[in-house]
Amino acid sequence: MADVIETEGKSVENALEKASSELGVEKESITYEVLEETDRSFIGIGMGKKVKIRAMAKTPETVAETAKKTLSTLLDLMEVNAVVEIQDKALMEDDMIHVFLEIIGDGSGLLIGKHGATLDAFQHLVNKIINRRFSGSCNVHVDTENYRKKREESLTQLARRMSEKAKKTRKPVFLVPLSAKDRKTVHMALKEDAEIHTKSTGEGPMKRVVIIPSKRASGTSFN
Amino acid sequence: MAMKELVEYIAKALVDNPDAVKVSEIEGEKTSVIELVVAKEDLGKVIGKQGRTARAIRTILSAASTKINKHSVLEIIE
Repeated sequence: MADVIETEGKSVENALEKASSELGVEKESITYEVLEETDRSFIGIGMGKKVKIRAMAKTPETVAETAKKTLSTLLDLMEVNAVVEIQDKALMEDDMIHVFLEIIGDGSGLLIGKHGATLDAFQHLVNKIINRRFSGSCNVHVDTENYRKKREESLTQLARRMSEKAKKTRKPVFLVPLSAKDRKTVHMALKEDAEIHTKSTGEGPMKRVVIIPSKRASGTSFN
Repeated sequence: MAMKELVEYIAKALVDNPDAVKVSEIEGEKTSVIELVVAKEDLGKVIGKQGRTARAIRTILSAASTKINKHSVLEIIE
């Protein structure tokens, strides 16, 4: 079954109903744009208003294509020489549609930014735009040059180093403020370590992870 | 350079009233000031929770400006 079709009706509502039955999905999960709106009621009786729409069902494929188009447009407007590819297959999990996009650029790091700030900005904006168009439940992941994986690895290393410091000094170690995703990476990296525990402190963009040495850590046995 | 168009595209894709989106650019030699006007009820949409969306727009704008050795400042006006 096609995911994208064009339909006509006397009103947007009417065209949507047709699209709904042709696509075989409920009206609520259809995203549409009005292509043409003509009002010929002055010509004669029976003609009336005509609305032509392009309707799209909300599927992993249509969400992925729309997200790709949105990100490509942003890059074009920035006059960056890069192409966007849909990585893996978009999938549906727990009612969330996950889309994975990869930017293939010149490798200059311009699209990554400091600690991935630019990459995160693309991801945030594309998510906002896509979730608006498809009324929620979409998660778009944006990556380039395998940055996400590298970041995860370097954060895991940092976490281990800092946990050693906490154990040695027996004092809490505060990390720099990190994004929610990065904080999760740190918590995950240290969750198996019984000699320390981790928690987050602070608010909003200033939220940071603290590594706290557990009382009476193993390894230093008394008696 | 299409800084104006870039901000306009992002803003229009985020708001409920795209027709109320107005973007103007005051170009300086090194620094450009981009003014973004949106409908009052759309202000929250371009700013986002804890200013996250506004920050994302500014970050993208900075990256695009860096490419041409310029500096851009984004002002969001109601």
